[in-house]
Formats: sequence, structure tokens, C-alpha cells
Amino acid sequence: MKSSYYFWTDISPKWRERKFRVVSLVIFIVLWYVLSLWIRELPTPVETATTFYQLITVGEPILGRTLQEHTLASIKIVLKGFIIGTVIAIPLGIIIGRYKLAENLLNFIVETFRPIPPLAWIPLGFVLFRGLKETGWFQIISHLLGLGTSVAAMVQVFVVFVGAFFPILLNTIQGVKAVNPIYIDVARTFGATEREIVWKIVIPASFPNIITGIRVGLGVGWMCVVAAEMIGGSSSGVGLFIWDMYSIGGGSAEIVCGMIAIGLVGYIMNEVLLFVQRRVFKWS
Amino acid sequence: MELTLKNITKTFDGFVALENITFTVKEGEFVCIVGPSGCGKTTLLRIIAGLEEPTKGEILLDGEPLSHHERDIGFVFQEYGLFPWRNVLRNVEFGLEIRGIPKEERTRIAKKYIEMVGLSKFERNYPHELSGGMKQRVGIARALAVNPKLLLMDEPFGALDAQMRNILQEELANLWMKEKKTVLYVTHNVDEAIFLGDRILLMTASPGRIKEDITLELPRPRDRASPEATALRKRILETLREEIIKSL
Repeated sequence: MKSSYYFWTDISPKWRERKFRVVSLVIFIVLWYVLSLWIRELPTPVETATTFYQLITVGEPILGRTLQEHTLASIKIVLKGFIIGTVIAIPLGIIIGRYKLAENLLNFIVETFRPIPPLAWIPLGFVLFRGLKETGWFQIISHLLGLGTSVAAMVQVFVVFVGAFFPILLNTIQGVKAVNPIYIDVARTFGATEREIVWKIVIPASFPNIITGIRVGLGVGWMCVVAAEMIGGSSSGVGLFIWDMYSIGGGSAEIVCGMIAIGLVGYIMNEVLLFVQRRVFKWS
Repeated sequence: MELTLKNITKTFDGFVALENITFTVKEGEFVCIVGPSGCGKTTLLRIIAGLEEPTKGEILLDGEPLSHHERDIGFVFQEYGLFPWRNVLRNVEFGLEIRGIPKEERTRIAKKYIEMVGLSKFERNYPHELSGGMKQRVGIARALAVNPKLLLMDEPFGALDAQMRNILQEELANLWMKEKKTVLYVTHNVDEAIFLGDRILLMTASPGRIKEDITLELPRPRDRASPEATALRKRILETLREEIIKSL
């Protein structure tokens, strides 16, 4: 009894938090195990772990790629779509958030496009990009993005872009609108120009919201790429991997491993951005 | 710098906030505007600062229109308005940055003013780490750093507790005697106005008009408890009371 008492009470809150994490993971794995005894198709935790080890050391049977190679391929696609989305969404969000005219002009369009699920863009993406494939612009962009001539990869980047774009845009707009007007008044009393107000006040003041948008956008983008890879035409990626494992006859342990990889990467991405957020915003 | 207001009127959607405000603040004078809440004191200050346009009337600084002198005005806000993403030093440097003063020089100037308000130890701190009184000291240092010829202060100590307010009033009085800025100071606190002002402009309840222009002949540093101050306070409070009752 005494040891269990210490387990719950000793040392710092940080370690207590970590212990809770371990405990919840253990409970989860036990439940999983029980469930896998009951549902035969569900791999047991041990089977999954063994398969996971196989997949990262030897690789999968179809293309012979390791799970981390597939994951890395997906990450590259996500980063490309996400960066394009960020670069467009942040300035646009600042403009819409700050200037009534821009808001009136664009709000309707944004709010109409926003409910369209990113994945619904896939068919149109294929049609458009196949049509554009031979044009110089497509080749330049595709080359710059390091996508070769793959229409599928372009579509994936595009879908990630759509997925990441709206959360970043909306959070930026919200952040810009929420800037305390007194900061702008202060700047104006010092004779700041509109340009200075935007760069020195609006952007730093709305940065916490922008970062939140980036975090959500990256998360959505990550979900989108996996789904887009399943649609076909790609030659690598976790989505493709999961779909292939399913196609060759339901390698459920492999499928679960792919899903775990997705979850872990998403978790790490979020943690990295949270870390950045806390670092940059020690003032808030 | 001499400030002249001629017939300033401000209406918002038919509501008259300020009506025919006319007065002059002489070079180096410390003028307090006292009035019941909602009388348009803050609006008046914002108009002088160029943050809002008057509906009618004219503002002159040394005989010239306001637009020629935008950069000669410093503003201290009630809510401090410190930028939370900048530390104390960078907050005080802000106005100097806008004026395009090179990095090294603006740091030197900012440090001088931070020292003047007694916050040298806190240069690297962020606003959320400071108390209300310290924040407003930063606000004052920031406004003074650009060496404005006219300092507008909008209830700068309104959010502070009474003790802190007294201390900052004393500091401000000392600073003013050293720097000799022209100051226009808005407050609803009569004691504060008597302690600080060369003149007190009493405003009526809405629509805001100047009701009385009182020149204070009290020696400095002021004695809060002197019989003259007490008598003056009594008189002003009575006038204000009438105004407030009228506005109910």
C-alpha cells in the first residue's frame, strides 16, 4: 500500500502529470487487448508492436518502403501545401480583418468556399491539373515544389492547401479584428503611418491568433493528405500505405500501424507549435 | 506650446457630446479639465490629439492648425496602452522608432526616460509583469521620450489605488516642474486637479461645455490639506454636484 501511496503523491506536479499519461496509456492498451480478444480482426497490441517494428526496420511487402519513408513523403506534401496556405492566408486575413472594404468584397466568397470539404476538391483538382499538365506554369510550379510531373502529388498539395488555408485565414481575421483599438490609438498619437500600424501593431498583436490558426491548419492539412493519398495516383505516403495494406487483403496490424504513425506525427506537429507559441508569447 | 481651441463642437449621430468649447492653454501651463463622467472630457482630448475630428471648430497650436504639429503631441492613456509584446525598453522606444531615430540613440533616450520614472531595473520586463503604477510610469516615459511640446493626459491614474495615485501625482508634479511641458490633464478627481493644476476648467454634464475657468494661486509643491485647497475643493465639488444632479 505504501508504494502505491508514493506513486500518486511524490515529487513535482510535472512528474505526476507524466505518470497520469503512463497510467492512461496502460489502461488504453489493456482495453485494446481485451477488445482484440473479442474482435478477431483487430490486431492485439503485441502483434501491432511486432508489425510496427517490422515496418520500420524491413518495410512493407508491396513497394518495400519503410513506414517512416512513407510518413516522410506525406510530411513533405503537407509542408508544401501548408506553407503555400500560410503565405496566402496570413496577408489575406490581415487585409480582410483590417479593411472593411476588403471584408465586404471577400466575405461572401470566403464563407461560401469554406464549407466545401477539402477532399471534395480532389476530383476537380485531378481534372484541372491533368488539363494544365503540359503548360509551362504547371511545370514551373511543380518543379519548384519538387513534385516532378506527378498530377496526383499536385492534387495532394492542393488539397492540403485548401485544408490549411481556412483555419489560418479565419484565425488571422479574428486576431486582427480583436486588436485592442487603444494600441492603434497609441501608435497614431506618435504619428505612425498605416503601414507602421500594420507591421508594428496589428501583426504582433494578432500573432497569438495567427499561431493558433497555423496549428489548426497544419492539423487539418495532415488529415487531408492522408485521405488524398488514398484516392490514388500517388506512389508513396502513409495514406497510400494504409490503402495498399487494405487492398492486399486486410493486413489489419499494418493498417493500425499506419494509423498510429499518423497520430504520432500529428501529435508531434502540435507539440512543436505549442512549444513555439509558448516561447514566442511569454508576454501573453 | 500654446494650445487654442475655438468653438469645438462634436456630435455623434445627433447626440451633442461637446458644445462650443473655447479655451487657451499657455506655454508651460498645467491645465486640468474636471467634469462629471460622460461629459466628453475624453472625446475632447482625443480631438486635440487628432484621434477624432471635431464636427465644428478649430484647434491651433502656436497659432497654426493641428495638422502641422501632430508630432508635437504626447498622449498618456488611462488604460496605459502598453504593448504587451514589447518589454519596457521597447515600449518606450516605440515613438522614437516611428520618428526614425537610429537604434542606438533611441535606446539611449529611452533609458534616460525610464530612469526618470524610476524603472531602470525593469527595462527588460514585459508589461504583464508590472503593477498598475509601474505600467503608467512606462506610459508616461513613453509619451515623454519623443519630447512632445504638449502632453495630453486622460485620467492617467484613474485605475490606481489612492496611495499609488498620490505618489504618482507627486512624481508627475516633480517631472513637470523639471520638464516644463504644456500639459492638459483630464480627470474627474477634484483633489488631483487641485494638486496638479495651474488652472482648472470645469465642464458641464452632457453636452459638455466649459462652465468655469479657475486659476489656482496656490504655491508649489502643493499642500493637499491647506485651507485654500480645502475651500477650493468644496466649491468645485458643489458645482460638480449641481451638474451631476442636472444630468440625472
